[in-house]
Amino acid sequence: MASGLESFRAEYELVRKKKLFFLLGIIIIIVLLTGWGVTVGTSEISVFESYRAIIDGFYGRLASFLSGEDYSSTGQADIILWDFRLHRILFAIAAGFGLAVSGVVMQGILRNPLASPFTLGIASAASCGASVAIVLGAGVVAITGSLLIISNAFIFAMAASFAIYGMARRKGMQSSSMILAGIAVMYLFSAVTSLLQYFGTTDQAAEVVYWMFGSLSRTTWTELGIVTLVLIAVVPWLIWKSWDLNALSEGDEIAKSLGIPVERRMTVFMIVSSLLTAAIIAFTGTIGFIGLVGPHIARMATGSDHRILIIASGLIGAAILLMADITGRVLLYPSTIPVGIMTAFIGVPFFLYLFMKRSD
Amino acid sequence: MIMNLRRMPVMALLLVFLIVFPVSGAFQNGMPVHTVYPSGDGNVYEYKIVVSNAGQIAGYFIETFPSGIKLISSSLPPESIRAEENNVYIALAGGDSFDFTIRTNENLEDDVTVEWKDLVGDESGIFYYSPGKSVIPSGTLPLDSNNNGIIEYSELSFGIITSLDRDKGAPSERDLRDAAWIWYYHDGRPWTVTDSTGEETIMYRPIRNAVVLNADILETMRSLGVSPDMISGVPDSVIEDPGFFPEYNDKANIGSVWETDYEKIISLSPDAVFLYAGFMSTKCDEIQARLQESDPSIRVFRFDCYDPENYAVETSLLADLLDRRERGDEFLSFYEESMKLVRERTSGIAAQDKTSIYFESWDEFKSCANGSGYNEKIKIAGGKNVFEAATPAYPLVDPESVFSASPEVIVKLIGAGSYKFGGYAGDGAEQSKALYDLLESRTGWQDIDAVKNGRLHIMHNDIFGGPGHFIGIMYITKWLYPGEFSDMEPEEVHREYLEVYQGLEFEDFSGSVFVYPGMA
Repeated sequence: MASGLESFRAEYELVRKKKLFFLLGIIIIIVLLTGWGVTVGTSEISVFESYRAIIDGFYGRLASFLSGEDYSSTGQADIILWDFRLHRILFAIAAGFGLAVSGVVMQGILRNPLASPFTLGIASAASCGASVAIVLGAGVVAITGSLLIISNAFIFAMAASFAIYGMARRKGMQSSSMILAGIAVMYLFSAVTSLLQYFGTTDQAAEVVYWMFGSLSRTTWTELGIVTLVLIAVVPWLIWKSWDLNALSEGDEIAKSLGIPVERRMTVFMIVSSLLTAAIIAFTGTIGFIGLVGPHIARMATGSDHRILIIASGLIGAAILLMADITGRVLLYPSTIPVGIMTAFIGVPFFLYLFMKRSD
Repeated sequence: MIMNLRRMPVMALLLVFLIVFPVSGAFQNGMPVHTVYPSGDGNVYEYKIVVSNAGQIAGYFIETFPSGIKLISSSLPPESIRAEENNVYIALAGGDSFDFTIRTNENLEDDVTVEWKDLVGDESGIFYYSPGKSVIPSGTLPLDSNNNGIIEYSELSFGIITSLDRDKGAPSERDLRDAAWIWYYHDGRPWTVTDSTGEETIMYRPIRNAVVLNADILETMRSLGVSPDMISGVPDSVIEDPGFFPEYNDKANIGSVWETDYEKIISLSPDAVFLYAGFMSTKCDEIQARLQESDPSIRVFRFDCYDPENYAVETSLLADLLDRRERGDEFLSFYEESMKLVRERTSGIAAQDKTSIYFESWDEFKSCANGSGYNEKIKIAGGKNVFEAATPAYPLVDPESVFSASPEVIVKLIGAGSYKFGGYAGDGAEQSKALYDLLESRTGWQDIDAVKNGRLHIMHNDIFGGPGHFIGIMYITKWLYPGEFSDMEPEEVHREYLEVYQGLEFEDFSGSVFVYPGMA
């Protein structure tokens, strides 16, 4: 018995180590991608200059911050790195992380491998909100900038999640009713978006399409700050409540028997994950796929314990989105391929590889 | 021409009609002039009437000689003049002047008024006789009664006189006018026209009822002086643009190239449909096939009318097709004057001396590259597009690359998408200012040369996208090389384009943003 326990413990340790190595590996990949990403762009700035600009810029900003002065830019490299590249890369990491975490939570509470903020209609609601702003707010957007589009996308996305919640609540909070309500909402919002595109001019329709491609070109430090704040508020709480997620993903009966207020918890998880998604895609446009596939890849590698799965999914999501954005910028520089298109190109082969390998 | 001696009030009305609506076509040289030389002995009077500046084709109607008249002599061929009881009918002048002498028992004194009906110009009134709707067989000429493929002088004269005389066998007004047109412009023979795709069509009738699915063709037709009466259906973009196309606002809406209302087009029974040539060509081929399937007699003509590379050629083909050569030449010399000025002066600038420009359409950071119409226009304007080598033709560029290119001039296009304000629809000043501020405050843009030097400009697509592109090109040229082009005044060219060729008042758009900030 003792030897059995010993070997079991050893095996557990091994699995644990494997998982930790996996996490470490992904982190290293993200760091390497970041290192690559900050050097990608105009050829006028060398790799060395890029790093120097980051370091100099960092100390420069720190010094001005400590002395309470306004920081004034020190040159082209500084502006390019600090005003264009860095926040974009960090935003890719934050957005990828958030979208994947949101997906893992949805899949957990709905016990459905196809569930994601996208299958639940949150993304199509955001697209609808953006199209309303683009088509009906023509002319106003010039005055408000993209603020109208951002706020509309966010409001519509949150409205969709409350609508799903409301409908599911009347029918009893079950995963199947939520998914059905979500799919109905998705089709409704897609229809409204199509209608707006149909009635809008050709170029407005095109603009809606571009929005739906998803892009990180528009990100700023402020937007990065907002998304980071949401992540800081939400992710630790999710990790703290990951046992509840574990229990919920085993089924309502088991969760109830473990003393978890199933309906209340499902509601909160859903709202939180919707908020996370909405806060990200309102800025970027639709970036699908990561919320679906990030969790799957993570689950294949680390198993279904949400304590580790949340982090692993987030890191995978961050890596995929970062990789997609950098590739989208590099391939046709100075043209960019919208990141929403690239995520599928980068993520699908990787996903299929793991999928085929596992079924062996 | 009616020479009426007793119905002065009626005549006065008709004269007003003629003065208010000056005719084009056959009577471009002005109204015919006549002189009466009376002679007589108190019982019998003879009048020699000399008409000069007669033009080519007209129906003349001389009546109200209660006591009867007799034709004594005439310089016209016999088939062109008929004197019957109280009336004289004259069909063709056939030259600049003619005369004839009549004998009657009345003393006309000298209060003779001359009237005429122009059969070729757009303003000809309803003719006298129209026995129901004419069926137009394809492949034959109107009034070609001997069917030899030529409308002869005698055939046309006979048609006009029988029409004036209200004979039973008189042709319909449409046949008469068509025949007169063909005789005047094409020597009475079928003629061949060519559209932008090189497709040749043999014409047996002039176009009387056209449907236009491409607003750029419509704008060009207006420059050619085509009357709105000739057009029965227009695309939705024209209906939605009453500021620029006021006279087409009550025409039938036939949708767009994307959503074409075939039923509406067929119900208008057009004799010609005008479509894009190269733009959306697959879709337009399909539209052409579907229309001609349901009615093979519909002639489809394909023109783009927006591309500076072939705009002059297309316009000249269109002028030929519509028999508007004179007006076409006049308009083209105006158009080419501006374009030549730009091309000649910018062609001399060496590549390394060219001013760099970043061009952005209404989508954020969507620029243009080789293979795009925008890039071609920038090249004509003498600019060095910083993203010329990018792919695809309309690339979304990395914001960082705009900054690192630090272009000397930036042009942002408005008029579509989220920036649908200004232009011929009017106003847009407030939004343009807001957009300008927004652009200036874009990340890093304060350090771009163009912004630092106040060379950031907003331009409306109304003067860049369609036939008005030459105005936009002139503006860009001036922004790129203000010194070299200080004598060029795009705003004045714009004014002339609207007032002389488009029949619009430039002042009606005085509050509209075409460029922002305005020219100093």
